[in-house]
Amino acid sequence: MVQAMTFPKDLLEQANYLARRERRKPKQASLRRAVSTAYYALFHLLIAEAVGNWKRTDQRTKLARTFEHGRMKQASIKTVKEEFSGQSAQTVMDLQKVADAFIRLQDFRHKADYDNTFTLTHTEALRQIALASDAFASWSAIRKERLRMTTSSPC
Amino acid sequence: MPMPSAVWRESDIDKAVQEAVREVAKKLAPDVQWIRYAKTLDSTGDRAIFFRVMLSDDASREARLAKVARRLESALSEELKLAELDLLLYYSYRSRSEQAMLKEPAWSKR
Repeated sequence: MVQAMTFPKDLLEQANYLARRERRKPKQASLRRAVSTAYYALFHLLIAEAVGNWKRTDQRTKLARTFEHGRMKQASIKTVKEEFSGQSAQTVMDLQKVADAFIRLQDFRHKADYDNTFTLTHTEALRQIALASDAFASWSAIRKERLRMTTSSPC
Repeated sequence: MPMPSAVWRESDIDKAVQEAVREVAKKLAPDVQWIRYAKTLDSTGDRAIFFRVMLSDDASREARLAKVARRLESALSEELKLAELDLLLYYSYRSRSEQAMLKEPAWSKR
């Protein structure tokens, strides 16, 4: 079994490595894998954090496998649109940054993995990885905070 | 007062986006050389605006890229009032020299 908390960080580190592997003439394979890996880093971070709250440790791996990309995106969209009235503005901003990064990285991961009609540039790959890094930092700042949905039901 | 998303017409959205793009490009020049956009569906069928942002070579240096991109994204989403438009915003970046090498029509200056 992978180490739940170090795996996402390792993926992010690998994304950074791949994006810088060929500095002068980066290969599409490296850049595309880098962007895809950056998305999976955030995907696994959020899942690890969610299942880490589950008391029965023996069930966490099974629970982690129930998370779906599509439902996580819809939950992220709700989070971005949610007002969180009367709650810490900084916490809300950080949470919405994480949700926004998840939405954007997922779409770019889709392109990077399946769309061969476009050329992924080094600039673009670095931006996507920075987006994931920023989301890690935002999450780290708020992971112990509590927020309550005020305008819509949770997913 | 914020306008509910259902009230926004396509022409309203286009007008708002064009205005926001013009303002932000002006504000962030010369780092941002130009911004183009397309309204379409994203990979899972949600309505979205895809921005293509041409950066100067200096702004696309690794030491500056994240900061410039963050400023642009924050300025554009602020101008556009994302929640009211009910659209997702996506951004793509490219440097002048990358485009000079790739010569992709979608990224050519019109």
